[in-house]
Amino acid sequence: MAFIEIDGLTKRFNNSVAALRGVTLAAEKGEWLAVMGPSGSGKSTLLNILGCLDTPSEGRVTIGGENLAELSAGALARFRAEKVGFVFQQFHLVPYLTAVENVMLAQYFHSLADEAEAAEALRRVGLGDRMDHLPSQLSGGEQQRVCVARALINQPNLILADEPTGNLDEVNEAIVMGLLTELHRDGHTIVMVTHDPEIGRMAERRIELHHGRLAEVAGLPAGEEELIDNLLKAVWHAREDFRQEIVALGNVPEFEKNRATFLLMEQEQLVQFDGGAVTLTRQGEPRARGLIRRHRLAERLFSDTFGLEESLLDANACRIEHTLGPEVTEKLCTFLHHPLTCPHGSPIPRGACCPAR
Amino acid sequence: MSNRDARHSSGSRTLFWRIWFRSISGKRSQAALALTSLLVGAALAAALLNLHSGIQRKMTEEFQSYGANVVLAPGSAAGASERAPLMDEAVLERLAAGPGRRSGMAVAPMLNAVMRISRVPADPRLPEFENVVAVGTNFSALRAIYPGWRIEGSTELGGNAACVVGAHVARRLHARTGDAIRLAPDEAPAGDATRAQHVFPIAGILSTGAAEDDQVFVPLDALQQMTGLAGRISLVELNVPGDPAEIERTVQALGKELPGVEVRAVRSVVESEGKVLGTIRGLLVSLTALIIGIVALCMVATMTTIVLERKRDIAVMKALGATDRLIARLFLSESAALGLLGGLAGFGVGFVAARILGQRLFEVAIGPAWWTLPTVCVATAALAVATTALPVRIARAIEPAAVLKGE
Repeated sequence: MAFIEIDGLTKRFNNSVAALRGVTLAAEKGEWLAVMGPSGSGKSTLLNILGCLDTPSEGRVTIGGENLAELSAGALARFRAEKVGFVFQQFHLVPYLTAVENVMLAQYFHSLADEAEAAEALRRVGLGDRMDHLPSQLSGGEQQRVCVARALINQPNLILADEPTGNLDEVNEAIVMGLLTELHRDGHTIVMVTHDPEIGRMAERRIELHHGRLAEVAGLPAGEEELIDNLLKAVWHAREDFRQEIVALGNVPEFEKNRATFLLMEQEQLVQFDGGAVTLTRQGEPRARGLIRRHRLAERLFSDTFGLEESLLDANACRIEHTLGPEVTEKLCTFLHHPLTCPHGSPIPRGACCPAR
Repeated sequence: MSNRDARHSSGSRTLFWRIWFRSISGKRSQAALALTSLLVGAALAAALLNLHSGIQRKMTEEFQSYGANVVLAPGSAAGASERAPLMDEAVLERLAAGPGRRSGMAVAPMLNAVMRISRVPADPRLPEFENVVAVGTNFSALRAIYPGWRIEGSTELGGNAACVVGAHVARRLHARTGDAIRLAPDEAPAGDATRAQHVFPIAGILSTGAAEDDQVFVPLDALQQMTGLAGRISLVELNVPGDPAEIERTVQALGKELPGVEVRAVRSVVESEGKVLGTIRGLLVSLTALIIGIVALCMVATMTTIVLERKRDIAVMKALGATDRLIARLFLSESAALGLLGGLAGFGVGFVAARILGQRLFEVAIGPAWWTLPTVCVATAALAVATTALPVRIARAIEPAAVLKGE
């Protein structure tokens, strides 16, 4: 049985407007799920129902084996306190309580407040020196980090994040997403609502809602071919750098930010995961090889033929590499006399045109 | 309980009060408005209660100056053979020793007899004698019961030697203080010269505007001797301190202690006092009820505003797992504390107001009626808690999903 099971979930407001229409979905324990979709698609409604802040009009929602429809109001409050941690877009900190008191608030509703533990949670999110500040004295990023500390203080099974980076700048976005990544690594199940594809890619799986219906689960999102190409190249580079066929995920910096895309690439059998490592598959290997070959030949062309400065080579190569079909690539390789390395010294994979060594 | 549990528990208690304090201090204007309305209500209630207490005391004192409020008279069985029913003087000792005796109670025994009075020396312009009602009594005690009587001269009768004469009698006899009168029984027993007559110097002349102006007051012993009624008295007049209810209780107690004696309240005095105090009480109760109503409305409005302004915080707390009960506890404890604080401050303000009003309007020096302090504080807190019931219902009905979404 999956940790989260949603079966035929429909939510109507005022008995007419349907925010969700027959959504069926399951998520495993420890999974990081991104719920995407345009405004008004029902993302937040789904999150509110999972967080017991709202009730379904029809259908069944089970979390950790508990059917939410069977819980009384008091039991739902207990469920929220013990098993759910919320991260809100608007932070929703109590304005007259300090950072540490806001974290203690979640402890208090759960069982008993402990200031030392709350302080430790704030230190974990990098706010050890801001504990006694009121929310109004904290930046947006700091407030969101307090919100994350508050969400994790009771070690909930499920963390629900509603546009967690919606009000943050890039720096704070990275910090907060890093914290969510840590929580995921610690085994928390995360359901995150976002409309930002980049943020969504950090999850393991993405679902999309359109007008309350589950429009797409998994599958390669349109327009992401270029991203996949870049990720394949990243794996290739790591393999070259560490001279290993199987590369530890920690050695592929792009992995953390593109977790969902990597998992889709696994589904498409382009890469294969083995514990904490990744390797290119039979389909992934030639595709990555072709990409690297095109790019490095393009760099060699700009360098040898046009005499472009070294610093401009990569960017210009990126511009034309996708326009190079297999036939043109082979002709280019022949034109350049089958070079062995790119201008930076990295090896150019051999093609069919290249003479045997 | 382990150290960790104890630390956690104390942390939770501390946090509750931190939330409580911060939420009050964070909404200073609303809290101040609620506190002010409670303070005003408590002050007015305290002022009226203190005023009522002071006026009641003053009225009781005033009514006590009207004279006796309880009379002991011979029971229906007593003295059936006598012309006027009399009772044994020993009733005074039983009264003094009995539990019905109350501190501050004035007691005046009285023996009434019709006597012949003449001036000494005789005045040829006047008739030889005239009949008068002589009252044998302890005049000092009687004077304590009737402090409003006007007396020219002295009230000390000097053992059995002197008398106080009513103003009409003095006028008819052309007598003044320092003169003397002769009293003799209306029907003098033959051969008993000592009982036959007695000359009394006039110590004072009494003017009450009532029947006493036609009476002569002499020492009880002297009249008993002259009339041959040693140890007998007609009635005992009492002035019992206290309000009508206390007087009624004393009447009941004395009735049980003194069998064979008719104990009755002087209805005109007691009832008048009761009526006046009842009117004042009614007025003050009505005013207090009106004030409570206004304060209650003000509190409901203020607490509702506070709840609505903290709607988002309540929604956040609910999202974090707060139960409706806990949210209710938070608001009720806030209003109870405001009530206690308002009650305490209101008592001080109200007492000062009562003191000023008492002095200016009623010429009464109002002292603090300390029983009103807990009454006002507890009542104000109870009012604050009761008026928070509606706002708490609003708080319980808050839907976190809708509020956090910004609806």
